[in-house]
Amino acid sequence: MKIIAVYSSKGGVGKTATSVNLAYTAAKTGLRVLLCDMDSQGAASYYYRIKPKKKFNRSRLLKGDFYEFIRGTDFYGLDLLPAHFSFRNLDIAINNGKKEKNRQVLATLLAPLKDEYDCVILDCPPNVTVLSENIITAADCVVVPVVPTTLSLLALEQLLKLLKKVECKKKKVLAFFSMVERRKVMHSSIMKKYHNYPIFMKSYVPFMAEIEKMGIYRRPVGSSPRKSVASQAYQSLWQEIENRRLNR
Amino acid sequence: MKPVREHSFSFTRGMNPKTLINHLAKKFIVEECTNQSEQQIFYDTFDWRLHREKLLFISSANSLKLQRFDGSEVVKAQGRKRSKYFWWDLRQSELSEKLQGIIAMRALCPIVSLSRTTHQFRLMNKDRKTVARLALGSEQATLGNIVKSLPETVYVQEIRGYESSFAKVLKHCSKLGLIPLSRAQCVERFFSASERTPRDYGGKFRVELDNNISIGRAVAKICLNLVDDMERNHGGVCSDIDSEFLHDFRIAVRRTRSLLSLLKKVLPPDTTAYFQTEFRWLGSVTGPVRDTDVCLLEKDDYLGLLPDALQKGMNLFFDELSANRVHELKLLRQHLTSQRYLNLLSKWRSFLSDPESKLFRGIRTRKCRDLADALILKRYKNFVKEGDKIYEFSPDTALHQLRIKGKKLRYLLEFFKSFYDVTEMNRFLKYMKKLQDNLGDFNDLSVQQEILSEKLDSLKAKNLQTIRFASALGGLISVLADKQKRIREEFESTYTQFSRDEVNELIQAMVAGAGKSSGSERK
Repeated sequence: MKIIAVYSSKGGVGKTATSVNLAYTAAKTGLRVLLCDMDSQGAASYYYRIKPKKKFNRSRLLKGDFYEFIRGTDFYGLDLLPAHFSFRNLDIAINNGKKEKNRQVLATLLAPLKDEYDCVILDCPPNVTVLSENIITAADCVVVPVVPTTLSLLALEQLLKLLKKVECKKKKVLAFFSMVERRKVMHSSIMKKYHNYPIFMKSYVPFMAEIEKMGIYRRPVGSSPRKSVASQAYQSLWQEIENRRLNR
Repeated sequence: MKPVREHSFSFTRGMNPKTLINHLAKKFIVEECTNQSEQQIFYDTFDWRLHREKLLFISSANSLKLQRFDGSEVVKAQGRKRSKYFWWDLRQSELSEKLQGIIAMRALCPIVSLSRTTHQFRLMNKDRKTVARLALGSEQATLGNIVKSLPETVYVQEIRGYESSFAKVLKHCSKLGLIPLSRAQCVERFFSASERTPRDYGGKFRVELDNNISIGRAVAKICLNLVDDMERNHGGVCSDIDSEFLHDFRIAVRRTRSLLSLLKKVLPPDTTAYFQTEFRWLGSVTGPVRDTDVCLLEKDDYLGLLPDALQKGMNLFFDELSANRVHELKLLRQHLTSQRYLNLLSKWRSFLSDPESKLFRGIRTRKCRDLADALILKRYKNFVKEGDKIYEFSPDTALHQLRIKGKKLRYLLEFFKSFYDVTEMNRFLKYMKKLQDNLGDFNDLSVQQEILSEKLDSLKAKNLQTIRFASALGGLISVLADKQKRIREEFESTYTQFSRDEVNELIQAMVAGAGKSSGSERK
C-alpha cells in the first residue's frame, strides 16, 4: 500500500483539486484507493458529496476506530474518509508524547489498511504542525502543488527544511506547477528556470475554469460526461508519480 | 473492514419492476444510468465436471471466464465463441491449465445460452450522493428456436458507509413481495432455463435395489439403466463431440454383456443367447474407434518421451491414425444407425419392460439377494484362486485373464451394491481398485505396444524418414515395455495386499448378511 500526501503550507494552490482528481484517476486505473480528507474545512468531502457520519470525530480517528466511517464515493474503487470539524485541532491532539513517537501516529493508524487499499491519498491542511510532520513521515511520496511564483518557491524551501528536520529524504517530495497561466511572465520564467530540477515533475496543471467549477458540479473532472482537458493533465501527473515513486 | 454487501431478488411472474422503482423514488432520488445487453453462454461437460466443482464456464463477447458459483472469478481469457472447447483449444493461458485438471479430455458444450439486459440505477440522497446501486435484469434463454423468459431480477449493491440506505432498499423489496435469491439460487436459475438438469448424468454407477427384489426385476432395473446410458451417449458418439461418449457407451455395453454372462444360468437361454450375440456385435463395432482414441489420447505423452529429431516421424504416425479414424467413425455411425442396432434396442427394452416377458417368470421370481450373495462369493474365490497361481515367471496372459475376472467381480459388486453395507462395500472396492488399476495399466501398455508393433511391422524401409520413424516406434515400444515391466513388478505386492485374510473376512462378512437390510433404508 502506498501513501501519497498532497501537501503545501500555502493555501489556495490546488491541493484539494489535486488530491480529488488524482484519487479518481488512480481508481480508474484499477487500484483500490482511499482518499483521506485531513483538512477540517472538508473540501474534498464536499466535492465527493460525502458528509461524515454523526458519530465520527477526531478522537475516534486517533483511537483507530474509523473504519466504519469510511464511505464509498460514486466511483468504483474509490472510498473516502471524510473530514470532521474536530480535525481543526488534530495536531494538538497528536502532540502528547515523545516527539519521535508523535510523528508516527498517522502511519500507525493507516498501517492496518494495507490489505484493503492499494493507495491512500491524504488531502492535507495548509499548515506546518506536528500533523504535517506525521503526514510527511507516513507518506511514501509528498506531492506538492506549486503555483509558479516566488512566494510558492519559498514555501517549498521551507518544506524541504521540514523534511530534513523529521529525517525524511528529499526525494520523497515531488513538486509540480499548479494553476499555471503561461501568459503570465512570472509563471513562464519560473517554469523555464526550474523545469529541469529533479524535484519538479514534468507534468503541470494549467489554471482552468473547469477545475474551479468543481465546486459547482461536485465531481472530479474526469467523471464529466464531456471530454475534459483538465483530466488529461491529472492523468499525466498521476502517470509521472507512478513512474517516479510507485514503481508500477 | 466488513465487505460491501449485495443482495438479489426475483420478481414474481406478472409483477412490473417499475413498481419497485416508483416505490424507491419516494425515498431516494432515482436515476437510470446505463443499459447493458449481453449474451452469455454457459458451458459444461456432458457429465457436469465443472458443476461438481461449483464452477461455471462462461463465454460472452470476446471473453471466456471461469467463475465460482459465488460469482468470484477464477480466471479469464480472451477467446472467441465456439461450439465446444477442449482445454487444449486455450493453450498457453492460465485458463487452459485450470480446465485441464478438471475436464481432462472432455469437451465443454453449451448448456444454456442467456441474453441478459440490465438497467442500472443509482439511488441518491438529497445531496445527489449515490447511496445504493440497483440493477434490474431480465434474461431470456435460447433453446434452438424456443425463447424462454426467466422471471426478472433486481440486484442491490451497498455503498460502503451507507448501511441504512441499503437496509431501506432491502426492506422495500421484501415489502413488495420480491423473492430473495441466494448466490446458489442465482446459479440454479441459469440452469433451470436449460433442457437438462445439473448432474443428471455422470457420477458412479449405482442402481437402488430393494432387498426383496426378484431376479427378473433386478435385471430389468439394472439393464434399463444401462440402455438409458447407451442412448444418452449415442448422440455424442455420432456427432463425435469428445472421446468419452464412446467410452461411456462401451462401458454400458460391457456391463450389459457382463450381467448377461454372470447370470446366464438363471436367464432364459434362447433369448439370452440372442442378446449376447447382438451386444457382442455392438462391442466389436465400437472397438476400432475406441482403440484409436486411446492411442491419440497418449499423443502428448509419447511425444514427450522422444527427442525432437524423432518427434516428426511420430507426428506422421498420429496424423495417419487420425485419418484412419475418420473412416472408422463413418463405419461406426452406420452401425449405430442401422436397423440391426434399432432392432436390438427395441427388443431389449421390450424384454426388460413387457409384463409378459420371460424375464419375470420361472426361476427369475426368486429373491435376487440370495443369488447375488452366492455369485459374489463364487467369483471372489475364483479370482483369488487364479491370482494365487501367478508368480514371477507367469506369462502376461495370466495377468490379462485375472484382469477380466476382476472386472467381472467388480461389475457384480457394482450391480448389487445396494444390498450391502455401504462402508464395508466401499472398503472392499477400495482394495480391489488398487489391484485393478495395476492390472488395467498393464493391459493398456500391452495394447499400446501392440498397436505400435503392428505399425512397425508394416513399415518398408524406403528412405531416411521411414528409418527415423521406425527408430521412433522402436524407442517408444522399449519405453512402454520398460514401464510395463515396472508395473509387473508392482503386481506382487499389490496382490498380496488384496489377498490377505482381512480382506477375505471383510467380503465374507458383507455377504453373510451383516448389512442385510433394504437398500433404500441406507443413505
